[in-house]
Amino acid sequence: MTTESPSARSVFDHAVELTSEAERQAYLDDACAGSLEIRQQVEALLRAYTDAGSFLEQPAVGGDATVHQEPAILEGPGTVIGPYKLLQQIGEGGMGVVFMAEQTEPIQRTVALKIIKPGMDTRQVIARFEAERQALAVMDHPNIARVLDAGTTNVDRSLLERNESVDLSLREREFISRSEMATLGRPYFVMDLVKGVPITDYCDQQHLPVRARLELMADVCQAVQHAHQKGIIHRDLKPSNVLVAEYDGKPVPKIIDFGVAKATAQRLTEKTMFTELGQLVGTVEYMSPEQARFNQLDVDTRSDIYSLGVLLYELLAGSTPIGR
Amino acid sequence: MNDVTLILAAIEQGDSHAAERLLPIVYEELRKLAAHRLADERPGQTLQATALVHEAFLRLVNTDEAQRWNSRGHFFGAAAEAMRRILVEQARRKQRVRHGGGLQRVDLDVQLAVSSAADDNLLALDEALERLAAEQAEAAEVVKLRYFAGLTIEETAAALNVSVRTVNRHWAYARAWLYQQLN
Repeated sequence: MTTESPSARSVFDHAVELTSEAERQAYLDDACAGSLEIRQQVEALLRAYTDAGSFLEQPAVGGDATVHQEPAILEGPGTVIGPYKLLQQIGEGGMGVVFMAEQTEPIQRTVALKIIKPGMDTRQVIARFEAERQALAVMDHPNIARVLDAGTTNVDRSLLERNESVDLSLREREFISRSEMATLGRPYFVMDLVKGVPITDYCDQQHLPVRARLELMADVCQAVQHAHQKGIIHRDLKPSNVLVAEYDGKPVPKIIDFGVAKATAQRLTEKTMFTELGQLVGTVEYMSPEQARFNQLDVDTRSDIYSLGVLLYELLAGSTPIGR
Repeated sequence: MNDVTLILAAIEQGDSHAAERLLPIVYEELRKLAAHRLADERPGQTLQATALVHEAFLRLVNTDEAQRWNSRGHFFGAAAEAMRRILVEQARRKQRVRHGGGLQRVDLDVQLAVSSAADDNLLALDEALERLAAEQAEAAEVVKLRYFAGLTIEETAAALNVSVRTVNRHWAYARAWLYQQLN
């Protein structure tokens, strides 16, 4: 590095304070003129800064940690949870891990089973789901994937016993039993299995013209309308929750996760919006202003309409109205 | 004046050896306090780094005397370093237990809950932090005060005797840099 070229640190310090992407690019063009290496370093840092989310914002000790130890994800293919046997992992989001699972009784079928990540109060999640279960049950629409069941994963005793064989102090045992209470037994949701791709991906992959996109969107709107008439708000409409699968060669959109967002109250507080690694759970781009303010009480059917608007915008314009 | 207050006074007067004497005392006090708090702790309650550090300050430092100097900064610096050591030692000990060294009885008198990072992450973070300190010492210091001692941006600014803006700048850079290193 020559003495004239600025340090990555000083360029970063300045660039990070610029709010508009255009301003940032213009500044980088200017400041890093002639030094591609510095520019790459700074751009990597800026990306890391954006991705970092709430990284390190909670002190190492304390903060909101009621979860004492990061529990390992115990479930995997082969694990049996109630009447469901996990087959393979089909997705992972900020909120949880989704498995394809085989239900054995009362009927045999393949379902999607979503296990919510640690950090939420299992009892509350289940209680909220139970409260809405009746309403969810009367939802019956070809473009809505039904939520079939919800429950709590089993405590894996073998893990505790394995720890027991190591000579632990009382203090450490106490911690294990505490983390057991706090974390083992996580909520899960069982849904119709939809073998589809997010609506935005589907439209792009198939190079669908505007008319076909609008037709798909009309189905989605009908489905949301149906749910609203039954008194159910989705609260988390976004491409990854609107999947398109082909039935008899015809694309059919299916909305998944109805009732899940409410049960997990995922936008209630900032805390639940961030996973422990600092990844954003909700997807802000599709969030209505009232939801973005974290005020759950103000959320009504209009929030879903807002998200539908953003989705439509993206299907037609190729990006969301408010950038990422 | 007690030991710590005297040491802080000596640091103020430019005695460079005094700082070395401060760390072990603060370290012991924090361990004692943490163990004590953990004994009373009920499930669901958690130990707060910031509460521990502030309590240690009140217990160790004659605050009337200390008011006159800019001694809080030195104290919190030592406290952050002590917390870092306690957590790193704890994480290493747990790794040893996991890797079979646990056949021998290990006395875990202090067992602090690490909120946002598993032990391996903590060790990786600590190593990255050392590398950051080699390049950007002040930014690394901000991370220690914020992350290990739980100080707010404003408290960190006061402890380092710099502006809030400067702390924010270091904090933004350090988080981006460390995140990049760890991902």
